Amino acid sequence: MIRPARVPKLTIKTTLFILAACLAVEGLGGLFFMASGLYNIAADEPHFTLARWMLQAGRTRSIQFRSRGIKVPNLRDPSLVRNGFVLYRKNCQPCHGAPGVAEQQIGRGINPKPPPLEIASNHWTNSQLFWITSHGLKMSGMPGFGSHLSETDRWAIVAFLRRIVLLSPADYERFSNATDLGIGGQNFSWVSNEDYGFAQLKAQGNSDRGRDLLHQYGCITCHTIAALSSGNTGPPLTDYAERQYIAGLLVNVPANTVAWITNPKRFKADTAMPNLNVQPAQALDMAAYLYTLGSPRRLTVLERIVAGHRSRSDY
Amino acid sequence: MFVVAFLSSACNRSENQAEAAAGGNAKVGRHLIYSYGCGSCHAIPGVAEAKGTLGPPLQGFAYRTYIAGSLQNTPENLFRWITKPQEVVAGSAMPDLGVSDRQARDIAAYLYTLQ
Repeated sequence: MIRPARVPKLTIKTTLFILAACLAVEGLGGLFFMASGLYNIAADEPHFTLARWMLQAGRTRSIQFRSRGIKVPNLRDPSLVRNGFVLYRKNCQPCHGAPGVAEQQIGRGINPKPPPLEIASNHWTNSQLFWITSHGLKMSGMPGFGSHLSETDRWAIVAFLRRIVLLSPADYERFSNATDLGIGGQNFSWVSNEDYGFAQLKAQGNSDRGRDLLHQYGCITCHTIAALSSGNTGPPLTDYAERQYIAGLLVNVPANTVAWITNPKRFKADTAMPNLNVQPAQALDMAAYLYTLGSPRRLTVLERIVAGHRSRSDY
Repeated sequence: MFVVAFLSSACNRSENQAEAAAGGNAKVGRHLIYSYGCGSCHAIPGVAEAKGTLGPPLQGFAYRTYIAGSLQNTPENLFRWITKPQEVVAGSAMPDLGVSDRQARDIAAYLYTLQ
C-alpha cells in the first residue's frame, strides 16, 4: 500500500517562502542600489535600451489612454494656423527646432531629445497632440502649456503641427518673414489647398514599372535602394517613404519627388545628381516604387492632412 | 575617394585610420554626435537613439562620394559642412549648430569609421 505523500504541501510552502525571500532581497537590493548613487542620472548619457523602451512604451499608452474623448475643433482655419505658427515659434521652436532652424542650446541638453515635430507629430492624433501640449510629459523635458496658454491657443499649435510636416526650410522662412513683417492672413496662404501629387500617384503611379525604370536610368549605380542596389555616390534611399526632405531642400511628397527626378538642377544648380531626361510619368512610377520603401505611416498621415485641406472637411 | 583608399586597407584598424584622416578622436566624436542631437535627423550606426529620418542615413559614410549632393567627401569639405552647412547650401534643412572646428574633427573621425 502506498502512503499519501506529504511532500507536495511542504514544497508549496517552501516555494512560497523562497519566493517571498527573493522578493525581499530584490527589493532591498533595489533600495541599496538607489541609495548607493551608482545609477547615472546624467542627461548627457543615453538611457539603457531597456529603460528607454519602458519609458517610451509607458508614455505612449498613457497618452493614448488619457486623451480619449477630446473633441477636435476645425483645424484648417487659416487664422488659427497663423496663430499656431506664432505660438510655435515662441514656445516650441527653442527645444524642437523647425524646418531649417536648429533648436537652441537649452533644448539640446534635454534627455530624451525633444524630437523634430516635422516627423514626430505624425505619430499622434489631433487629440493626443492637444493632450501632450496641454499637460506635458513626465520624465522628459516637455512642459505642460495648459496653465498659461488658452485652449484656443493650444489648438492653434496643434493646427500648425499639422501644417509643419508640409513645410520646407524655405516655406518656414517665408512664414517667419510674413509674421515679422506683419503681413496678415488675407495676403498670405497659411493653409495651402495644393494636392502635392498624392492623387496622381494613386491613380497613375506603377511601382513595378518604377523599379524597372530605376534600373534602366541607372539610378541604382549611385544610390543604395533597399533590395536593388548598393551605390554610394548619392544618399541611400533606404526607407524613402519615411524621409522628410529631398536634397535637404524640398519636402518629400509625390509632386516634389517627381519634380526633383525630372530636373534636379532646377532646385540645386551644383547638385551631383544629373538631369537624365526622365519624363514626369516615368518619375511618377519611380516615386511609386520608392514609396514602397519603409513604413507607410508618414505618407498616410500627410495624404489625410492634404485631403482635409482640400475638401475643407475635418481630418 | 582618398578617404576610401585610406580606409579600405584594414577593417580592424578602421578607427585609427578614420582618426588619422580626420585628425580627431572618434570616441569623443560619437559622444558629440549624441550631444548635438545629430541622431534626431540622421540614422547613425553605433550612436544611441540615432534613428532620425529628416536627413539621409549616414551608414557607410566613409564610402560616400558626395556630401550634401555637391561636395566631394573629403575631410576638409566635411568639416566645412558640419560647421557651416548654411554657407555650403543656403536654405538646407541642415541647420548651423555652432559646432567648433575641433569638434567637427572629432565628429568626422567617427563618421569615417562607418563603413
